[in-house]
Amino acid sequence: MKIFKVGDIILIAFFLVVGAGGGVLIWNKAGSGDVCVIKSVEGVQTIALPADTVVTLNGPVGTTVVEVRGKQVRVRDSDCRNKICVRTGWIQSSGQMSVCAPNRVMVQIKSVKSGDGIDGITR
Amino acid sequence: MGLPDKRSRIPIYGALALGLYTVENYLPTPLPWLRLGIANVAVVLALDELGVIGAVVVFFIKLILGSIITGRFLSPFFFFGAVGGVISLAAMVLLWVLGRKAVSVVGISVVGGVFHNIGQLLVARFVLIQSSALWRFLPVLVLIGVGTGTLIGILARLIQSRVKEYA
Repeated sequence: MKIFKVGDIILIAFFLVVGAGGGVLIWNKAGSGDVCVIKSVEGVQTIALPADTVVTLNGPVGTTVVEVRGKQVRVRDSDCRNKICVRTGWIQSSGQMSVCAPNRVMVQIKSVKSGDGIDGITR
Repeated sequence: MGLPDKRSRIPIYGALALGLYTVENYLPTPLPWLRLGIANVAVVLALDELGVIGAVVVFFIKLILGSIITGRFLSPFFFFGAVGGVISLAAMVLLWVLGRKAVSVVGISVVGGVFHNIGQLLVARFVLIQSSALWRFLPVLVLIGVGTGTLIGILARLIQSRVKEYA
């Protein structure tokens, strides 16, 4: 008596493919659910992550260039004196922010899930 | 000669389910909800040998008497297991009715394992942690279900072939 019938192999293969494929899809897309929020004197702008884009903003002392690459965001350049925002470098986790106070630009990563998930209270 | 008639074999599978369920209850698990579900061996055997009614009876013997023995009856764990178990049983019965020519107890057990985990995730999603982030665990649970289901199925198949030699 053979252990497996044809249908068994098909079923096992099917669920393995569904499970692995679904896993790859979901976990690759993961980090989605995070958004990048850019606030400036021009207004508020929200970008769903991951994304690849460069945003140029005008503020009181000049322009600030924000670069979004994949799940990371940074202020690439700004016309401010101290360059604290530029030196903050890449930010990628929800809750992190990069701020250019002189030019009134705030870049922040937020999780749209917060308030919904189990970390909702502590966040 | 041979095995007793079908109706009187139901308690034998029920006893097998209860014994396995009780023993497994004492084995340590890495996570509270991660169990092999070895008592399902008796349920898939009952389904394949005795048909739908046999499987349903054995399942409820396992569910109710098993949880009374292990002290879980009507506890939150009981309802988790009950929902997962009923969904899993329904999937197995459906598969057996529709495709028993092409599928052995291994395939039935795989479907049972997968749907048991899906059922538990449903309970977790809508009762315990109401967060859509929980769906992310679905693929992992499907894979775990395939793993445990295949093991249980092979075990049931081996028992089946041994018993057939005496029947």
